[in-house]
Amino acid sequence: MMQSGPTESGAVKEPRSRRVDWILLPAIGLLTICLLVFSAELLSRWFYPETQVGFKDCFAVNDPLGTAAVKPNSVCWEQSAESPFKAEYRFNSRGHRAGSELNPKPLGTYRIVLIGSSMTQGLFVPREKTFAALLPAELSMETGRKIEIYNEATGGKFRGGPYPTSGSARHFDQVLAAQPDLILWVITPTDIVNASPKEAAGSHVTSSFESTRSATSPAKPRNLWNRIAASITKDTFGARLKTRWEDTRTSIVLKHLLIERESQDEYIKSYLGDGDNASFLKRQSDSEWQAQLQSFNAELVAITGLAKDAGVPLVAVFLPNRPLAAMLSKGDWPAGYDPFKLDHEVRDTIVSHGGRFIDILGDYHRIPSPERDYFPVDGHPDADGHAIITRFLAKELTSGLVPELKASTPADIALEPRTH
Amino acid sequence: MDSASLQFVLFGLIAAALSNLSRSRAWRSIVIMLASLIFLVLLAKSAIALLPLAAFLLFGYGTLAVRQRRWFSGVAWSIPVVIFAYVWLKRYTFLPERFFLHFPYFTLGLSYIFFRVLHLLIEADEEQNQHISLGAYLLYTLNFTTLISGPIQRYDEFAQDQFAVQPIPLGPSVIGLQLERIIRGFFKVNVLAMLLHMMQENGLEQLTQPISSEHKIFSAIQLTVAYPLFLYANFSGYIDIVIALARLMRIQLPENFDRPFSASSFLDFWNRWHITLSMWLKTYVYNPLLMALMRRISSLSLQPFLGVVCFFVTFFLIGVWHGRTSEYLVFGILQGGGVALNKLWQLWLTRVLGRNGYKGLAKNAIYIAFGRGLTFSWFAFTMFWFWANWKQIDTIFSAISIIPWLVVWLAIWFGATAALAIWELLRTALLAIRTTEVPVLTSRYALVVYATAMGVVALLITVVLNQPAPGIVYKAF
Repeated sequence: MMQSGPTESGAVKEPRSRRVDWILLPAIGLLTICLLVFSAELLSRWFYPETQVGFKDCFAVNDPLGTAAVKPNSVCWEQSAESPFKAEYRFNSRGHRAGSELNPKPLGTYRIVLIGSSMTQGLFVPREKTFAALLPAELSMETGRKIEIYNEATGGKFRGGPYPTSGSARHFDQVLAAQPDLILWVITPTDIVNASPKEAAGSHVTSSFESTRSATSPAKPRNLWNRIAASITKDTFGARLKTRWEDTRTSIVLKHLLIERESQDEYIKSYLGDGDNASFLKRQSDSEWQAQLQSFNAELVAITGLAKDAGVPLVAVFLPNRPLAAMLSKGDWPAGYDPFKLDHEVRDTIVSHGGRFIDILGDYHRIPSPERDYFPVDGHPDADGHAIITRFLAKELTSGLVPELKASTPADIALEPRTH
Repeated sequence: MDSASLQFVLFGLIAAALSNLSRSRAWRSIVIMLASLIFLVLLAKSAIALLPLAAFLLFGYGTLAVRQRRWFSGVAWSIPVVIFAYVWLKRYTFLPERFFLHFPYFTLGLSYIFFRVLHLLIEADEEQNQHISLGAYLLYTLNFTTLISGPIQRYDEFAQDQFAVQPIPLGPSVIGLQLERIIRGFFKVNVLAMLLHMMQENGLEQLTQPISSEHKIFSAIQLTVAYPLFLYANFSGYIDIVIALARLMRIQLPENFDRPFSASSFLDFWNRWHITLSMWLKTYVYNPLLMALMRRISSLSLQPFLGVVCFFVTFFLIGVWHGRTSEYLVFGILQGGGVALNKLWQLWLTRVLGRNGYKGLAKNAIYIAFGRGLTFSWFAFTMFWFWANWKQIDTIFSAISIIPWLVVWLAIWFGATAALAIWELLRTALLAIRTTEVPVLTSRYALVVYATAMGVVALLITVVLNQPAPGIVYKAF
């Protein structure tokens, strides 16, 4: 006859439950949670250190939008939990991470001024490993002429402000002051979100709220329960809990380890599953994204027009973020998504207003798993990612779009093994 | 709901709570019936999709009634007809496409219903068995805790618990143990299995990339080792959840796993892996086939080899049952071939060393350790025909040449031998630390610690990854 097997139940014969267990067992459970939370955070901080040294010397939060301005002639260091480097941010007298002062252009030198945001500034990566630092040598070699790059890119909200924000065209004279032969504008999907007036307004509201809270808000409820109840009624409890969790090192490390180990396919699936983040990849984008794109396009048109008026050629390039790079490399994507859509929209706007556009997205299809060259949680490219961007930019810039940069022999993209 | 999701666990807990509102068997039967029907409707999403399954069930019951009442003497055809109906509804690829139903219908759980129906039909001939009412039949075949992936419970065991005047006791201690088991199962499926699945996918992806041959060897090892562990975590985790939910409903389901990777031979492995399936086939295929062959072949020297043949047939059928395509045919041959070779090896060693010599060798710690490693490696090898299609199999095996593959298999064998031996030693040592009553690590206090930790980790990882864990693999069969 058929018999049932034994035993993986772990069900052990236990003595009858004792009254003290009704208190002891929940207490053990709570203690376990506390120990787990503290030890996980402790271990995460130990193995994945995150440091910021001298940030107060570099940035001053004096902007009404809550963004930080860079202090000229300053130096500070930062290591993100995901990066093996402690990156130095050394800003020159104009507040740029350019590697040197802005000197008068030497005779016969072709000067490119880079504008863009944190990816272009080289967040979390030592300057000498950023594409801004690597590109001059690559271009000089390809073209046989002396080429220098002056990097005017700004960082994120707390690292010199996003670029562009509403009205950044007003400061375009700073770009022209660098006497560029060419302006290279590196655009990323995040720039479009940051350029939206809603985002700026949101920042403003937050900033005002934070600055005036202590002076004008009613007295805080004193006991814990009342504070929790107040949080719940204001609908901020869940949001705060989420923010607190996301601020923990455990959260960052856990995300880092999990995302890093996801296959390309799984990563794309999970990223696209989060509808809000993936708006820019959708064929039919929602009205909110359309509004953000419109704001960005206004800046795009203004800046392209100013460059045209000044008689300086402006070339724009759209850099993929991590999920976009993964989709491009994979070569197929779910229905309803199009990784080229935003690239083409930006290209059309730029070109229709007299600018030029180089397309490097197609190059990502030729390399396996380019998403591994980005910090998995933060999403900025790491040193290998910057090296790849350098090769792609050099190849496209010397392809003939800019006659002064035309290479004598066409560049090819070498597939070098990863360093990690 | 068709996976070890939080919704499924909550659904089961609500059903268990309702079922315990009264101890009367009528009430408990009503609750489990309603829960099972709701479960089916939630999964099927349309009534039409359920029609073929309903027809299969009713046909099964009709045949059962005829057999039990012995109305016709010629009902021997009923079992082949039920088998054919199952094969037809499951759309096995050896049948012509045009014979199949051409509308989408629900087959989830059909395999497990099939085993239960067949079990009832075979056992219906037993004189002492009582007639089974339609209600009891439906309760047994549609029980939501065992519908998707088993375990395959015997009817008498089910009836003994479900229709008992005095149901099996359910005190705080038992409830605590079941909740711990649910959390453990949830953790296995949603954390362990998911991580192992990621590891496997990663290995597969890397194997097809332009990377160095050392990296490819590593990727091949990763790919090969990850899948059996994933499948174990995925399937046994789900089984943990349903066994615990059923126990909370005062039904004792049979265990389906018994630390399978501790098995020192492939024969032993199948005593510990998907136990209820292998027991079912041993009862209804191996035993009758062996008896029939022994009746026909009286030669004493040949009789040991009859077992080899029967083992091959039984485990070939286990393999073939898993799927409808030709890959599963090879999977069946590899399962059947594995146990048959294992049996032949035992016979040969007994002949060479003598019965006592073989017994001595079988108790040798080093022999056991290497046997464990080899069992794991063979099972891992057969798994390629379980999860991959021919195109993927071709890609995997052509990714590296023969010599690197030999390195891969040797590394897996020796690695598994060492890792599993260390695990066994560690486990024995840890379980030896005891209070006066139980090992410290299985005391209720330790279980609370595990359950809390696993619950917190599962919750965090589910939130962080923001994607469902891979579905229960065995629901597809």
